[in-house]
Amino acid sequence: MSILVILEQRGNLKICGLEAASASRKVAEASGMTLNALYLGRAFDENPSVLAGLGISTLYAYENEDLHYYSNERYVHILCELARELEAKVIVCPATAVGKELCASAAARLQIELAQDCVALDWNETLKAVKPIYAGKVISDVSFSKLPGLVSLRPNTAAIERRGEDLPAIVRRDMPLIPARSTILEVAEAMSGYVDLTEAKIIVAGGRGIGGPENWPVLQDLCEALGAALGASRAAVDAGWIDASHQVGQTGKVVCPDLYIACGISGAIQHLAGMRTAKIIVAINRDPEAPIFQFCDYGIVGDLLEIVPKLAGEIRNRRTN
Amino acid sequence: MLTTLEKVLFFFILTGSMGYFLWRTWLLIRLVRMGKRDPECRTEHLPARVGGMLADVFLQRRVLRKPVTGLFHLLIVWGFFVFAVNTINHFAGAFFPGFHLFGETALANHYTMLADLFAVLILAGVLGLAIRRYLFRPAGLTPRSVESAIVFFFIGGAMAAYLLNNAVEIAINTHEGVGHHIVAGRLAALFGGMTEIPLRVLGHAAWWCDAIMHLMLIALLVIPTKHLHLAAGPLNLLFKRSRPCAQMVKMDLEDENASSFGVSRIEEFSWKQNLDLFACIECGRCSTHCPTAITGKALNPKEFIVGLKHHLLETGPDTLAAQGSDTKKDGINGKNLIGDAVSKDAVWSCTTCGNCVEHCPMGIEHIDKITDMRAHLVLMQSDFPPEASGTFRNMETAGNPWGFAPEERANWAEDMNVPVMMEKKRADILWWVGCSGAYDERCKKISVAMAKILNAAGMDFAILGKEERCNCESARRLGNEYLYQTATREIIETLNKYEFRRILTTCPHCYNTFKNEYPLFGVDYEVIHHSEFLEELMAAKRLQTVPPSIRNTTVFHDSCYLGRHNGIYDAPRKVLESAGCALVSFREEKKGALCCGAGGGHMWLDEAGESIAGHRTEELLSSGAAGIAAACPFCITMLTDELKKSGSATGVLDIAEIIALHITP
Repeated sequence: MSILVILEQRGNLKICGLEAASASRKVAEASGMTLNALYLGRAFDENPSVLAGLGISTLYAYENEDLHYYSNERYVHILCELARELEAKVIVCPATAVGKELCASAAARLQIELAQDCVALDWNETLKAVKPIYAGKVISDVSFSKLPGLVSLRPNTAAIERRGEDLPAIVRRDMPLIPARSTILEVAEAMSGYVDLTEAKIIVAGGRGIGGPENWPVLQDLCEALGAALGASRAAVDAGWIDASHQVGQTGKVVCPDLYIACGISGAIQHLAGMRTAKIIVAINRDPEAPIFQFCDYGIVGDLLEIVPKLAGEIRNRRTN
Repeated sequence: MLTTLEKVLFFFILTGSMGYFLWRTWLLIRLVRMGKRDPECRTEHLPARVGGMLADVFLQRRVLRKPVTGLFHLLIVWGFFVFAVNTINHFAGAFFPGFHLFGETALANHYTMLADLFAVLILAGVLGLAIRRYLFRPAGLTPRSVESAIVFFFIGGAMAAYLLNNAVEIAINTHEGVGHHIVAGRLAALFGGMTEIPLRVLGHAAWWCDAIMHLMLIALLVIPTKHLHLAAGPLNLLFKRSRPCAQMVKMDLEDENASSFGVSRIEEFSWKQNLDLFACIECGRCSTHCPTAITGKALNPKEFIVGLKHHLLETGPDTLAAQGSDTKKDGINGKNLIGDAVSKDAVWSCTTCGNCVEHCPMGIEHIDKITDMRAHLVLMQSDFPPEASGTFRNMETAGNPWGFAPEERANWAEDMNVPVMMEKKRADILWWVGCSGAYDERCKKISVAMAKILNAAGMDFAILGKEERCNCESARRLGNEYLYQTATREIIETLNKYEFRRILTTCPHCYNTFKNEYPLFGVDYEVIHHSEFLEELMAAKRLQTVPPSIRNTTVFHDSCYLGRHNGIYDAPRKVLESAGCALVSFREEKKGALCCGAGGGHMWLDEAGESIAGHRTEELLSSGAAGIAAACPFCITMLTDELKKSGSATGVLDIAEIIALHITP
């Protein structure tokens, strides 16, 4: 009896897979089952220390060129085969776009119960999960009536927990013969080097207060120092200072970065609607009455053209030292 | 005096024309009746309706809003009624020479004098209007109308022919009609020199011209050209809307027989909406006052209505034919209502400000057609501006358009001595704060001011606090009837838990929906806007105010949903005056005030082209006042943004904030 967790890769191992492993370990310990992991890809050539201390007993790495990109037929086939082989009672997968589809197909193929997009896992005589429903208005406790059961776990809900340095044993296998009906001919990847605003962890945004498009380099310098994406308020876009693809706000992009630095942005409610869920908000504005100061975690009243370069310089200093 | 041949010829022409007239009229009636039942009973209070219609027709009340143009038109209208008798005389006179409806009485004599006089006045009217249309080319009358030229020609021609016909007959002493032709008689002198035979020919020719031109005018009615407004207009005014302008109809979303909601085909309009299209005279008063048309956006109300009219005429007959059989009527002639007759952009551009309805002389209701089409696009096709989708979702899940946490809704009132209904259970006033007043930093100041006032006046009030949720009024204007009704049901349930005498609100949109639209959901709340409430307080002297040392000149911006839609113009002005403001009056105020651009859901959408708020701000600044006052959080947000953009030092304050400044502590 074991638990199987799927480690998703997009070239590199994704963090959500490691989170799923930590969440699965909790279930493994409570149920007394072994925790195994499944990897599908071109080759598992990561530094094995990435799996250290996660509690994974064995990693089954299926390595083949045809597994590099997600292919429903191949992934589902392998997962079902392995789950049966290991007598997995619980299968856990990250609830990414790939993961959710994989789970749905696998559950149907294996004829087992499935709970998608859960935020927590537990064990009490059977597999338990916590699942938000009705667009998050209700949090439901799900209990599996039969095992095996399949769950997908929402990214960013479990913390990665490492205890000690133990590495899993790695079993490498080739892709079995699969009667697949499709082949991936070409994958067109999005522009590299372009930090998508909606996925950026750090955003520096400029508003009417920057004074004019000639001052964007000041903010771009800070972006570079931080590895941040550049955003803008509607005022700057309407004034023609920057393209609308940078607009953050109710009618622009809704972002959820770890750090949002608002420069020369007054904080009108339409802008807040686009960035209010940022974990930390820093505001730099000349006007002490600006609404954004009611809303930010750190506020600096002053001229951004003076402050931002100083900020960028200090960050660079600390990085090199 | 007609020859037998002429009489026979005329008989056939007359009966043929009458036949054509009846046939086309029957089609037009059928096209109107192709429409569904109208949500309002349009025959209620019939005597009042008839009286109103007659006043509009004979006194030309709405047309005379443009005095000079109106006067010229009035001459033609009165002339039309006067000439009706003459037309009968003329046609009957073909067969019964000397026929006069009034016999050989003094009345007939007076009538003839009047008819002659009006022939000249009508000519003057026609000439005046033609000069205005084609020489001065006013903004509302584009594109150039050929139909108008044709109608001018036939009206003018008929009058000229009438005078010529009678003049010639008098000249050759064959005049058989009764009465004293004061004008034609004088014209007769012109023909003194002509010999008899040419005169006779001229006389017959003039008679025929007169007859044919009159028949053409009757035909032009029912082709139809916009001349149809002669019949459709008064009818439309008779059936004009008596319920509030911004009251939207409650759709029965639980109707299991309904295969579609909203309007996507012309036959889904009501009969009144169809009649509107025939009543349109393409005067352009709607467009010249429409905020979207004057800022170059896709919607031009006149083109919108005309587009719908052409669609009805083009596809209506086929649709009528298909109704009898089982044939599927998908996009008859390949023409769709939304997309071909009117563009989707035009449908989404509207801010529902009501300026079109206000200025239309024919009582056309533009807004309902637009919101009906939006409902179809949203409810049936999920086809709406993408910026709105986030807002809809936020309203649904977080109970406010920006997605802020519902638990934080009462944070603005912390430490402010603002009671909450959950604890108090009953109060005289339930103060509906609204989403802007609760979450928007700028508008929170209005709530703070209002709280200060309520406490200073010793009012028994409470707010819903966390239990308040967006009433989704703006989502409804965008066509999301489903979201609106869900929110309404929730709110009514919440309100039913508590006892209160009336609902006070600082937002005209909330005010409008609670007052005018909630009754359709079976509740009857007394609702008051804070402008009316403050006026009450000031009149009852419940507030101790200190007059300001300097009387600032202030201009009041009339919000659409307060003014045009609910008739509240004076209350906020009285409030400002009692606060010691020197009110400045200017042209674009009250009924004709321009929208700030945020209505109709546009607060949540991107704006293309020139900014409506920018336009309005310019108008307000041009009044020369030192400060702007308003009574709506949307308006204040839009105007504040524009003033900041233009770098103006002028500020906008809500009337509550102005009063709060002057309360003695």
